[in-house]
Parts: sequence; structure tokens; C-alpha cells
Amino acid sequence: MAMETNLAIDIRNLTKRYAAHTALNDVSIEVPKGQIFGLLGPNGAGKTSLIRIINQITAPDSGQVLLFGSPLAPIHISRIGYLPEERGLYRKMNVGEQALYLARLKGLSTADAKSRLKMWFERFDLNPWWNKKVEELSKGMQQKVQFIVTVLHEPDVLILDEPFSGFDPVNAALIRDEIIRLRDSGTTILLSTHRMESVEALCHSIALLHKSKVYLSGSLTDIKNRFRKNEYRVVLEMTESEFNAQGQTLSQALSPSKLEWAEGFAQIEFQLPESGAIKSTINALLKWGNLVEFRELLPGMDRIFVETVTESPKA
Amino acid sequence: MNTILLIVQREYWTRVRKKSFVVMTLLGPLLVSIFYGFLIWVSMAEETPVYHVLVLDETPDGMGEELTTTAGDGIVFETGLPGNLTTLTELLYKREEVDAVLVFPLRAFENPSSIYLGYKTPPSLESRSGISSAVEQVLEKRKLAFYDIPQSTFDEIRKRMDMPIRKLKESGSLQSDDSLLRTALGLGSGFLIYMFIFLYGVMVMRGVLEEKTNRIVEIIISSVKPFQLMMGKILGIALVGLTQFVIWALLSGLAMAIVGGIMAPDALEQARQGSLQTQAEMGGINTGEVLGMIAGINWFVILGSFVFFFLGGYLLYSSLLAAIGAAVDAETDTQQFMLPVSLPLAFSLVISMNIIKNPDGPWATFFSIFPLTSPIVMMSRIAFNPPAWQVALSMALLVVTFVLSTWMAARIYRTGILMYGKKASYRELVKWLFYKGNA
Repeated sequence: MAMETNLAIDIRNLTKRYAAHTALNDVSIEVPKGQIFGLLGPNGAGKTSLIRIINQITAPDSGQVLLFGSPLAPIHISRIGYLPEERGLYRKMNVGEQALYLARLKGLSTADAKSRLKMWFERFDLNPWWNKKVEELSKGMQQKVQFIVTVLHEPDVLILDEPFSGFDPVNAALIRDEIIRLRDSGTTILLSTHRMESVEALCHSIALLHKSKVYLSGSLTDIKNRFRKNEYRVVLEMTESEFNAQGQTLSQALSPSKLEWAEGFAQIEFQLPESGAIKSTINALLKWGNLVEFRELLPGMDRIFVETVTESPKA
Repeated sequence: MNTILLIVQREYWTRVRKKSFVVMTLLGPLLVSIFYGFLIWVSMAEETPVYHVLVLDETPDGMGEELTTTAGDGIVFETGLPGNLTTLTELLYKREEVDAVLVFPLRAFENPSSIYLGYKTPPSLESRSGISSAVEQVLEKRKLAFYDIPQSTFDEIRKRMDMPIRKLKESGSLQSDDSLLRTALGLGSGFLIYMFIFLYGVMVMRGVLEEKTNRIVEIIISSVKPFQLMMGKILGIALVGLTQFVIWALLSGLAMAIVGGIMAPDALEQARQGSLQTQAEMGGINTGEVLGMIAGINWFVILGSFVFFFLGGYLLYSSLLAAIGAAVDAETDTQQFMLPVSLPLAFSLVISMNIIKNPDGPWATFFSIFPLTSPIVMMSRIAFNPPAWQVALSMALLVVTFVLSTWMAARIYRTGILMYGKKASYRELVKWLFYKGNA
């Protein structure tokens, strides 16, 4: 039964086995409505298997997926837009005709599909290509067509698997802006990618799959907090002679990982043994020079990803 | 709109609008007739090499001198040569253009089996029979003279008879024999089915493979079920094939009507009189009689079963071929799976060529019921009015088998289309059959 929920996708204890290996092992993930949610993980972690189950391409061995509170059913197909990682088009078919065909497969009427395609082709500068064959298009343009076809039926949930691959920076930015615009208009977006900078720039929450299990999940801020190591960065204003005179003391007090002076500022990065020592450290720093910056260094998603995958700590 | 219908539409339109389709459909019959014309021309224009035979005649009355050749069979007898076997053998190996020595020993007439040909270059099949019949003719003439039989009497005795063969109906009336026509009809339609299955089944396989290597398949099956995509493709391509056949049939019909209109307006008139009385005194069959036979065949049954076996066979094989297309990554990898599919097809063609000798024999019966061969073999038998229960059983088994094969193919297809870079083996395919399916 569908009930009021703030979850767009609710993945509950999903398990999928193939003959030789387990692709998903008791995976549970909650994707809130209206967010960009990052699905991360190394190759072979089970991301594609999970995405295919949500798209009803394959079925799980056990577990359940709820979409807006109700179990997956054929009617959900038209509410999802899916851009697979391995994507292509019929090479010999006309661009416009093909876009129309794919849109109609998603349940749009010819008239609707035509008017919407016109709008999107305009927006993406594809109009002159409507009657060309796909094989005449550059890879970037083909990717644009694929993106349009994915979002054309205005799905509530958008599943994008490596959406930026094959785009030059200009077009990648165009697609990124479209993704943000779609989120702002209420679309829930599941973004599967290896590009951690896109994750940091776009995602509110993430789940990290590794060896068929969820190793990390939650909002980006929470996860970063979980991985904080009490590392700080300080900038002190001081002259070179002051820096040279006090360098020794600084080193002893903070055992910094970075200690540099350039153009009137000393830059120091260090780790505190425990978080409680911030106040006393600041007091000590104030004696050495004019404190212009003091901030905690939060780990980047890159580092969290690598650390999780290589060290495999407990989820 | 139903998604399968959309897929059928796409598969149909993209293919029918292709230049290659238009060209093949319009020029196909023309190309075929040009090809056959060329074959006939080549076989007629082919020069028969001359086979040169020296005749050693040891008979007292010069039997060898009477050897005659029929024009065009390419045999030259050189008679009147003096000497014996030794000198002629020498001559045979000295003269390059000579191929053999034909020896008539002293008592050749009393003992015809003593006549023999000794060759340097082996005679071709044609030359062999040409030489034998030349020798036989000489012997024949001698025997006629020996027994004092006039040539005209002998000719009368030897006159071949074309016994009229007619169908005796229950009512007691006779009807012209149409079993040759039925044979041609059966073989022809069996062959058409074979062609159709092969041409369009492979087209299905290529189409599946194209979608897989294009990587469009995952986009599509996020909107439709793999089964729908597969069936849409199979049905769409079936329509392409039917379109092509209908156009071909119309074109051939048109061509025949034009030829018929020019050549035999009388025959058409005769045909209108329907089934003809026997013409016992006439061995040959005239055009009117042929047309009468055409009118006498139960076209409803023939056409009905043609369409049935045509579609049944195509559905059965094209689903298997679709599964093959889904299981591999490139067309070159299809070979290992193609064999078990193409073997029964080729086999049934061979069988149906043989069963026309005995359309109700045990082999004919078995293979016309066995579903992998029945579309072609039963079609070859159908013109001979096989027992109704056999036809019914054959049809029922075909339906059951194609439902089963489509089910199997769909399961292999579903897994295969998303499997890249993995070489599928038969064991792998069996595993795919039992993966848990779509929700």
C-alpha cells in the first residue's frame, strides 16, 4: 500500500546472486525525495545490479524496493528515467525519429513527444541534426540526445550512471546545470559515478557500495564528520624573521604536517590529538602571530572513498 | 499504444525503407531470372571437348566402319586404320590429339562383350555414354539384318509409350494427373519456407546483435520488457519478409500474365472450361490441361498450411537465432551456435527432396511431424494429401515447440543482451535459462 513517505526510493535488504558471485548482499539504502543522491563504489561493487533492479530490468533474489512507498510495479517504468553507463543509439536511424521512438516507448504520445523534443533540441542546439543519422553525430552530441531522451518524459526519479562521460567541460557543465535544475523542480536523482568532484559538487547524500554491501551511507556532511581526523589549517601573519625565530617552537608544539612561510603569512597544517584541545591551541597561536585563518580540514570524498575501499572498515 | 506494436513498427519501417530492401524487392526476381538465364546460357554455350577414338577393326565385315556419331556429342571415330593393337597403341601415344582405342575383335558380333575401349585419357561421362550407344547402334543394325527384321518393324516395336496416368474419381470420371504439379508445388513451397527462415531468421539475429553492440539495448529495456523487444523484432521482420514475398508474387504474377497474354490466349480460354476429359490418345500435356490441374488443387489447404508452417517455422527458428544473437558479442562468434540451428534446416531440405519418391513412407512421416523439420518437410508432403491426423499432430507439435523455444530464447536473451565481454558457452546458456526472471 502506498503511504505518505519522504523517501523516493526505499531499498530494503536487497540480495541478488548470480551463479558465480553475489552481486548484492543485504543492501538497504534510503533515497529521500528531491535530492541528488550519490551511488558510489568501485567497479564490480554491485551498482549496476542495483540500478537494474530499480529499473525492473532484473529481479532481486530477496528483498524489496519501494518507489514512493509502493513496491516496484510495471507502472513505475514511466516514472523513472534511466541513463545507463553503457549507452548507445541506433546508428543508422535518424536522430529525431529515434528520439521520438524512445520517447513513445516511455508512454508519451506522438504530439507530446514532438513538442517536448522541439524544446529540448532548441535548448541543446541540436535542431540542425534532427534529420541526420546518428552515426553522423559527434559522441558528445549523441550523449546529449541520450540525456534528452532520458528526461523527456519528466520522470519523478532520474537514474544517471556516469552521466558526464564523453562530454567536454562545456557540455559537462551544461548537463550539470540541467541536473541541478531538475532537482530544483522536484526530481529525485540517483547519480552513480566515479568522479568524486561531481559527488562533492552535486550530491546531498551518498551510499558507498563495496563488495556487494553498503559500507557507508548518509548525508555528505555526516560522512565527512565521521571521517574527520582533527586536522586543522592555520594562517598566521608574521614577518620572515619572526617565522624563522619561532619555527622551532611551532614545530614542537603542533608537529605540523605542513609548515611554510610565504609573502608575510605562515601556513600551518596539523592534527590535534583530541578535539578538546582547540581552545588552548588557538590561544597559543595568538601569541605567535596575527591569526587570519583557522579551519578544520574535512576529508575529501576522494580520500573517504579510497580509505573505505582499501581499508574496508566496518560499515 | 501497445509497446510491442511500436517496436514492430520501428523494425518494419526502418527495414522497408532501406535502399537495399527496395532494390532487392524490385530487382530480386529480375536478378534471379538473369542468374538462371546465365546458368542456362553457360551450360548451352559450353564447348564439348572432342574425344578422339581410333577404331581397331578386326572383324571380317568391317563392323567398325559403320560407327556413326551424333552431331554435338564431341566424339570422333577414326576408322579404316590398318595394323594391330600394337601399332594402334603406338599411334595412340604418338599422336597427341588421340584419346583412346576402340577394339572390335574378330568375333565381335557373336561375342559383343569382347568389344572394349582402351584409353590414354579417361573419357568423360558424356563421352562414355556416347561411345557405348554408337557401338550399340552398330550391333543393333547387325542383329536386325541377322534376324531379318525390317527396320520399320523394329521401330514400331520399340516405340515408346506414354501411358496416360489419370486420377479415377469416386464418381467414375477421370481427371488429369497432377502429381508432378503437386511435387513441384510441395518442393517449391518447402524451399520458400527454407529461404524465408534462413534469410529473415539471420536478420533477426543481426538485429539483436546490433542492439547489443550499439549499447542501445539497456536504454530500451528500461522502458519495455526484453521479451517484448524480442517479439517485436521477430514480428516486425516477419512482416518485412511477407511484404517482400507479396511484392515478389505480384511482380511474378504480372510478368506471367504479360507473357501468358502474349503467348497463349487460347490456353487461357481452354482453362476456363475447367477440368478436362482424358485425352488418352495424347501422351503430352497441353497448357490448358496444366491450368485445369491448377484449378483442381485445393489451394485453400495448400495456402493455409503454407502460411501456418511458414510462420511456425520462422517463429521457431528466429527465436533461437535471436537467443544466439543475444549470447554473443560479435557476428564472428555466432558460428558455434549456428550449426545446431542450420543443420536441421539443411537436413529437412534434403529429406524433402527425397520424400517425393515416397511421400507416405516412415521417414517422410517422421520428419514431417518432428517440429524442427516439419515446416519444410510437411509442406513438401502436403500436396500429396497426407492423413489429417498427421498434419494436425505436426501443427500441434510445432506450436508447442515454438512456444517452448520462444520461452527459452527469451530467457537466454534477457540475460545475454546485458552480458558484455563474456564468451558464452552452452553450459553458460543453460545457466541463463534458470536465472531468476523479471518481476
